[in-house]
Amino acid sequence: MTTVIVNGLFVGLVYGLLAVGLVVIYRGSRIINFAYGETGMIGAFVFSELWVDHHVPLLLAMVAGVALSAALGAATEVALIRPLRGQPPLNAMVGTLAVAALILSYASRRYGLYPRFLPPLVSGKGVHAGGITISPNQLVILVVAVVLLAGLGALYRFGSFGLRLRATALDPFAAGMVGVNTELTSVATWALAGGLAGLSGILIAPAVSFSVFFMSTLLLRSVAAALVGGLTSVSGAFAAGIALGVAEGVIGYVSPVKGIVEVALAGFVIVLLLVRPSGLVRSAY
Amino acid sequence: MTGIRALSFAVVVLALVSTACSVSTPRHEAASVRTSGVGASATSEARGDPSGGDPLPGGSPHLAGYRQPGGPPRGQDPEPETSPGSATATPSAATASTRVGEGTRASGVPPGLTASAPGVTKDSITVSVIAGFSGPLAAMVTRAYDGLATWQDDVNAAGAISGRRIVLKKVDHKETADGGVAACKEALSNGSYFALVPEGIDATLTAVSCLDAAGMPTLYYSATTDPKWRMAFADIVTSAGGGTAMASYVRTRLGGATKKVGVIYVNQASYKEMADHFVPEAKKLGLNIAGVESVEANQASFTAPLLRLKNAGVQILVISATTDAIGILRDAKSTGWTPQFTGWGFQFDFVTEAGRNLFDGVAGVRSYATVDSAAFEKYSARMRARGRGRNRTDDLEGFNAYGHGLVASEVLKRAGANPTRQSFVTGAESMQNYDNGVMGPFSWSPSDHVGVHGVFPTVCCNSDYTWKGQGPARTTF
Repeated sequence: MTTVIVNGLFVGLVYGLLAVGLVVIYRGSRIINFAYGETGMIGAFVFSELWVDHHVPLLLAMVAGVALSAALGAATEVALIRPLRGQPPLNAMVGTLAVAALILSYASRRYGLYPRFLPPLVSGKGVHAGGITISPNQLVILVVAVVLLAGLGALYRFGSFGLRLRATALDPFAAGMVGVNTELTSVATWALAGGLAGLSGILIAPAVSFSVFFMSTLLLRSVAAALVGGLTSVSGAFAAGIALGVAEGVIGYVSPVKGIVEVALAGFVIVLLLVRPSGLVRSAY
Repeated sequence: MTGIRALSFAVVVLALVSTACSVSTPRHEAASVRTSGVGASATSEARGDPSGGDPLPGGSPHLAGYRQPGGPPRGQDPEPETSPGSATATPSAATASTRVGEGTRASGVPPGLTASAPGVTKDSITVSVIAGFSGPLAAMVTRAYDGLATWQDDVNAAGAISGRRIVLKKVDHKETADGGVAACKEALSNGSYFALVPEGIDATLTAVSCLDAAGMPTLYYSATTDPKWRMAFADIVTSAGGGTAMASYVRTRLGGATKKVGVIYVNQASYKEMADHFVPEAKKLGLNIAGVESVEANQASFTAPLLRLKNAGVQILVISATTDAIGILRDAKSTGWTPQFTGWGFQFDFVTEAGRNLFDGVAGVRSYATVDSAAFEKYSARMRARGRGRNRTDDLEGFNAYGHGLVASEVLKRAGANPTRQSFVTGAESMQNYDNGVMGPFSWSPSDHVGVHGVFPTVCCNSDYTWKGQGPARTTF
């Protein structure tokens, strides 16, 4: 059981990382970006292309992948979200579905549908304890996730940029009245989230079957985690992601009933929305 | 806000529910499911080395023009050809094209050939190739078509079949069920004699079903079959057959008689079908099945079911999956569990290229010869000669399609000098232990259009992460 829990913890870290990105966008724009997974996927593929195929140094390739995802996020804001500002949020969310389809279409043409080889970002034997092996890649995800969480928390709480983000998220009109460049702030939010998506994708890719769909399927759980966090709490979404990963592993191990994990998860989301529609954890900005 | 939550909720719930139905496998990789009754019993060892007999171009008797086979009688069936799209097969067209001195092709046409069926003129046979040319698998389909185009070029260069050149017509089913129906209608109206359907799931079902109802013969390659089809023939080993062969492979090659065997399969039709046939056959052979687990495609983690199998003492793990085999092996090894891994459905070079060292020492069986086989070498030489040469790690589809082309050649040869659609069927039904070295040898009969196919034993890997062949194809080991 310990193995199941530890493994679930690391799976949950992945869900949590992705959920955090969804929350960042929702806080800034009040929409859920359904192209989030694909935005990260394309960054991961560019990273892979540079690092594996063209032997570009690891860090440089990572920067390029993250930068591309950030640029894609910013472009989505400029080309889609901004023109639809003032329209019902549903319009923009449907628009992000279209963006996701576009990215997926491009990626499948360029990279194909087969999974690709991506070696671990860090080599080594990992940590062995109590019959459990934690790979170096899992440790990297753990470290980066914690650093990211702390960094985002600090950004929102202490920096002037964070203050502008929060002000714009709370009331864009009022923020504009007091001199906040809301358009720039919105672009920055989407770029930040895009970069997060790219970084998450790069970290996750070596641990999964690395095909153009790898982020799309993971994102489903992450949306559930973000909902638990009320779509506004970074730490709440992250914790929910971890809990989800552990619960998934434990339920799957204890009960061999096929599909039980999906049923349990869907049931949980239904109950959550009925009983506590604003999520279990909610940020007050 | 409520609307957003409601939408999110709907998306999450729908997505979760649909997870079980998600498809992660490129269509052609999924081994086919057999829904007809035959095929579960492995009865005979396929004949010898696939490299023997030289079925590929260069020495191929069925590429060198028509020879009356011992099987079906020629012109046996005076089938009235009244199907749609027979414009190219009208007597007037045939008469016109047999005029003396009309062209080099016509001058080489043996006497007595007629436009005997739609799509058959005295000097050509038109074949619809129905595939997802514009669907999500377009790149793969293009590679497959290259293999068929090389087969076409080779056949035509070697004197064609009965002096009739092969003319391929691309028909796009777009990988959708509706596209399959539309492709069927196009094939029925574009002057084709028969159709090749080398890949697809829903599109194959609708296309072949429609063609079968309209009386057009089909050679198809699909994840599913319909036992009611009268004119359609599957030239790939089925998942059921693979499962059955796998049981004897585990027992004989992996020493499974004295070990605990576990099964893990992806909960999709073809993989489940393999497991459903493997388990009873394994029990019949006296194997100890210690556990059977199903997983969903694209699961983030396979640890829980793997731990159950590990705790059950499994020593040989049979995996029925394609790309998910990567995750299964990764998670098994991350828990420090290394039984003998084997299985079905993932013995493709693109899978080992993606998983690399994870697959070291993994053994199993597959439908097609490996790239280190003589058959592939010959195929590769033909592709290079036609200016279509590729790296061997990236040419599975073309190789497969070339093999289907060779099957088509043999069927056409058996269909007689003046083939009708019925004689095509009769010719196909006469195929016994047909072996072109590309796919495992197989037999069809009037009561069985799917057949029992041999499978190739393989192990990972050659130095370029391609699967290493371990001998000829067999139905039992």
